[in-house]
This record gives sequence, C-alpha cells and structure tokens, in this order.
Amino acid sequence: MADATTHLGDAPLLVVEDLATHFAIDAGLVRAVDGVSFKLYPGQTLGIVGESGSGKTVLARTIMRLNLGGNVRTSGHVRFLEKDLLDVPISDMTRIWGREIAMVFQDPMTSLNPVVKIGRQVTEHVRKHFGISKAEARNLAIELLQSVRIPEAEARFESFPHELSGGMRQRVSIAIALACNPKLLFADEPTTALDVTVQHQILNLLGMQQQERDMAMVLVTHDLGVVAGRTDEIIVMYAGKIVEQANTSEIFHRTSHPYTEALLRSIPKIDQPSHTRLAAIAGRPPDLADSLQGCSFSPRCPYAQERCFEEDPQLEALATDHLSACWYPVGTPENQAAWEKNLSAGRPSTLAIANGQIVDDVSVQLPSGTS
Amino acid sequence: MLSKVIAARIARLVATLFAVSLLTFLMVEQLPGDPILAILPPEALDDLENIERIRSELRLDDPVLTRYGRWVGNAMQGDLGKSYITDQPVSDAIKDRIPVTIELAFLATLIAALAAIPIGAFSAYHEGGRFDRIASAFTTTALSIPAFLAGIFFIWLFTLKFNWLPSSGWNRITDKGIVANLKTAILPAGALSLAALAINARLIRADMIGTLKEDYILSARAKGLRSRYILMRHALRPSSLTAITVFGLQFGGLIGGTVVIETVFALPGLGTRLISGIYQRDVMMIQGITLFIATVYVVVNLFVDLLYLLLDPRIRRQ
Repeated sequence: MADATTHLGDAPLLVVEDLATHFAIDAGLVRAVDGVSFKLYPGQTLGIVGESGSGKTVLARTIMRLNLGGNVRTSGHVRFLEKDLLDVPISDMTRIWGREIAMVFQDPMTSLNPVVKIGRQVTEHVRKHFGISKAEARNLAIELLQSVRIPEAEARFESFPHELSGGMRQRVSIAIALACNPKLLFADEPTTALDVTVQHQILNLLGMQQQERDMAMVLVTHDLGVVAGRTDEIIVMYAGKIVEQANTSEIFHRTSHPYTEALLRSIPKIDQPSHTRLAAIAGRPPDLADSLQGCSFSPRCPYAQERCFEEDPQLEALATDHLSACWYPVGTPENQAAWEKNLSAGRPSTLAIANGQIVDDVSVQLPSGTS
Repeated sequence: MLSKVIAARIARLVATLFAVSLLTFLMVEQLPGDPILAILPPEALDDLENIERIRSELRLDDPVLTRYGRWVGNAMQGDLGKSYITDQPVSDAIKDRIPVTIELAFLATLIAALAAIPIGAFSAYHEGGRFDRIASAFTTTALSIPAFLAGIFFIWLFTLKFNWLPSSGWNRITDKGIVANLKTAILPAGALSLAALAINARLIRADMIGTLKEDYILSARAKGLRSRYILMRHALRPSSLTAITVFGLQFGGLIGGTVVIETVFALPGLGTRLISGIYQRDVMMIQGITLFIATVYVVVNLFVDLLYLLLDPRIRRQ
C-alpha cells in the first residue's frame, strides 16, 4: 500500500480495463483472459502469478497486442500513454514495440535468432527506432551488454547465440529489451527456462535495471517465490480471471484466496525436514473451452461449499487495495467452518491437505455433507 | 573433424563416379548396332577383313572389362578418347560445347532461385491469402508443364507473336557481348527454370511457414521491426539452408536437363552433341559426355555441402 500512495500524484502508465481475450476454436470459445482490470504506475513492478494455462502469458501478449491470429477476439481497454492500445492499428504498433514497451521472453534458447549475430540482434531495433549510425549503435550495444554484466562484451558482439550459455543469452535478451529505454517492460517467465543458480542473478539484474531506468515492469511467473520481494503489487490469475490482487506484503501476510494459499503452500520451504513431500494442488486447471458454472477453482478447492459450485464470486475489496474473489476467504470464520465441514465430510482435496497427500483425481466434486 | 568430414565426402564422390562410369559403359555396350558399322560408309561394309582390321585398330576386340579399364584409366588422366566418327577428341567437344550448357543451367538456377524467394516468402507471410492462392495456382501449372512444352510456348509468344527474341541459335558472350548473348539464352533458360522455380517457391513457402512460428520471430516483432525486414533478415536465412541445398542440386540436375531444351532451341550445347552422338553410335562421345555431366553433378553436390557449413554457424563450429 505504501507504493500505491507514493504514486498517488502520478498518472498511471498503464490502465487495463475489463480486458478479455477469447479464442474461437472448434471445441468452443476459449476464454483465455476474462475481464481483467488493473493499473500500473511509472517505475512500479507488477507480478502476475498463476499456473500454466491460467492466462497470464496471453494477458501480457494481449496488452502488447502480440498473440495475434485470425481467431482471436479482444475487448476492453488498454490505456498506455494517452492511447488505447487496442485501437492502435497493428502497423503503428511497430513504433511502440521495442521502443515504449519491450518484452523479455521465457526461453532464451529459442527467442534469439540462431543465425544472426548478437550484435545485430541488440542494435537493429535501436537503429530502426532512433535512426542512429552503425558505429553509434555498436557503442551503445557494447555499453548495454556491459550493463547486463556480459563479460567481454566486444567479443560477444560478434558471437552467435549458440556460443553463449542460457543465462548469458537471457542477459542478451534483457539488453535487447532495454536498448531503447522502454517505459514498460514485460518479463514473461524470464527465469523459468534457466538453472536455479542463474535465476536469482537474472531477477536481480532485472530489478536493478528497472530501478536505474525508472521503468515499469510486469513480471509474469508461476512461482510466487520469484515475485516475493521483487514486486510492488501482485495479481493472482486463475482460469483467465484475477482471483486476488493486493500489494506484495499484503498477499503474503493476509492471503485471502484459497488458490493463492495453495500456490504459497506449494513453494518448498528450506526449514522442512528432508524428504518432505512437496505440496501440490489437487487436480488440474479447468479446460477454458468448457463453460463453467460457479467458481472456477471450486473443483480443486479444499473449502468449496455448495454455493461455490453455483455462483461465481466477483472480485471484491477486502481492505483498501486488497481484492479477492471468494465466498469463503482464507482467515475468516466462514472459511474455518467450511474447512471443518469438508474435513468431516471427507472431501478428498481437503483431506489431502490435512494429511499432506497428493490428489490428482478430483472427480468427486460435491462434498457429500453439504447436499 | 571438419577435414575428416570433407575427406569422407570426397571418397564417396570417387566411388559414385566409378559406379557411374561402369553403368554408362555397360549401357552403351548394350546399345543395339555395331559402332564399326556406323563408322564405315555403306559401300565398305562388304569387306569383312577391313572391318576386322578397323575393329582391332580401335581395340574393340578386347574383352569388355579390358576396354572399360582402359577407358577409365585414360579418363582419370583427362583423356576421354576420340570420336570414332569425326576423330575429334571428346574433351575438345566438351570444351567447345560446355559454355552453352553451363550458362543455360546457371541462368535457369538463378531465375528459379531469385524468383522463388520472394514468391515463397510472401506466400508464407500471407498464408492462405490471395497472393498465396495465386502463387499456388502458378506453381501447380509450372510444375505440370514439361520444359520442352514451355519452350515451344515461349517461342510462340516471344518470337512469333511479339517478335522480341530469336527462337533459336546462340550468340557467344565472347563474340557478340552479353546483351546479344542473353537474348538467345533467356528463353531456353526461362523454360528450363519453370519447374525448378515452382519447386523452390513451394519449398521456401513451407519452410518459412515453420520458421515464422519460431519464438525468435515473435521476439523480433516485439522489438518493433518491420514485417518485411523480419521476413528477409530473420526468417529467410534460417529457411535458406534447405533452399541452398536444393539450388545446388538443381544446378547439377539442370546440366543434364538442358539436353531436351537445347534441342528445342537448336543450341550448340553439350546436350545436342550427346544426342547426335547417340544417333551416330559414337560410343566414345556418349560415354565421355555422360561421365562429364555426372562428374559436374557430384562435384556441385560436394560444394553445396561445403556451402552449408559456411551458412549455418552452428554446423561450422562443430
């Protein structure tokens, strides 16, 4: 909340309102992003967290207008620098991409062109956007490569991507994204494809560069551990919707949504005895082509009650700047009652958590005690 | 490592050439008719003693393998023998005729490559769009028309209808300059290139459609680069690796493929000489030219492989 107040005077850099991205496929309409709204202030970092398939990558690419295909339908508003990006013709987006908004992709093994030298890949868009000479671009690129801590930057300028390690390649990707000093940086799972030892270096590098450049950043990840301490605000997504949204310490200390709680529980802890089973979330994310009734997390939720299967909870403010979409928010007496009811009724996903087991099959959905 | 690979390729090349030489030799051996009878004028055919004398002079009475061994042995030293009919050394005939054939094959490969790159690239970029559909109709047509038919059509259109270009004959660059030369070369080369052009356009299209789905194309877009630049800089080069191989193979193939088109346009190339050699039972000429064409083909292939190493930095460093 402290961050929200420090930015009260500023106008938000990015305002996303009721954004929806639907894919029309043979099996029906896939609601990959469904009614997402948030604001991002200059210099702020937003974490978007969720499992694979929760819609977080599609959300990032919709805002950037990058996930294009003939069967995509987008609605809502994305206001960035006085413009609604959804109204900008794609041909004009080439003036915003790379220059105002940049993106670091998940896998540096595939996001760099294998047959183009690093130097060209770092400079080509700078030359296009700013029309600087080849020599100026070269100097800038070497400076950039040095600033992302790439040793022997001059030699690396002439290298091909396959001559660099994964971590080094991701540094190159970051240098590319930072090259035009964008106001907003999307980092889509920037460390998922990397060794654990390198992950922290890359995250620290992103954080440092962000502060130096006073750039806003959206950090997309499936790992709450990654965003802890690196973001101002966190959005937790499930099945294309925001289920919880709050500033970072609030989310960690006053977790409200059962899904957020489940994500937190699934982070391995250093103080657990060795050979403790990793906590997994029972079941799988729902197929977004099916039309869902009730809360989309209810089949996997240990607290789910009858109401959860019938009515979809809306995102509501629990406190200032803390939104959550749940009928039985964690930490409330209602939640405690729901837990005990499910436990005594023997609901498998509830028992699994109580006993520290892993349940994959959540086909038995309705808690028998409630019917 | 690299030199080992090259040595292995060269060894394979030599083996291929031996196989080709043996097959050619045996095939010509199987041709009906006696070469001696083709050499002699009809009135000399009654003199059997004379026939046997010439046969032993030309050492055609040796066993097959002996003759093959002698031919290959000489060929390895650059001596492909002499025509039985005109007494012209085969290597002189090749030297005389090869510029026409090489130029035709080269021009056809060039046309096929240069036209196919933009057609394939833009078809892939607008997959399923109007340009793609028109290009696809064109490539299907081009593939189903044999080169000689296209040649006849070109003669009808450009000579008879518009009278822009000559229908036959050849101007040597060295005699008449490049413009006059191209005037005689462009129709046969164009006709020759059609099928290769269609294959290339389809190949590049298919390859590019795959390449355009790669992550690095998306990241290039996210950098704000223009579509055309992305297409040419980021998508074409990874796709061109396959294309380059095919271009090379086509050049080799077209050297043999000019045989028919040289006949249609009455050009003084290797192909017309080979055909006349077959009509005249000119054994040495047939063997020599066939072996030469095969040699060019495999050597070109070797160069294509080496070019591959140059183009793909990932292979180069291994």
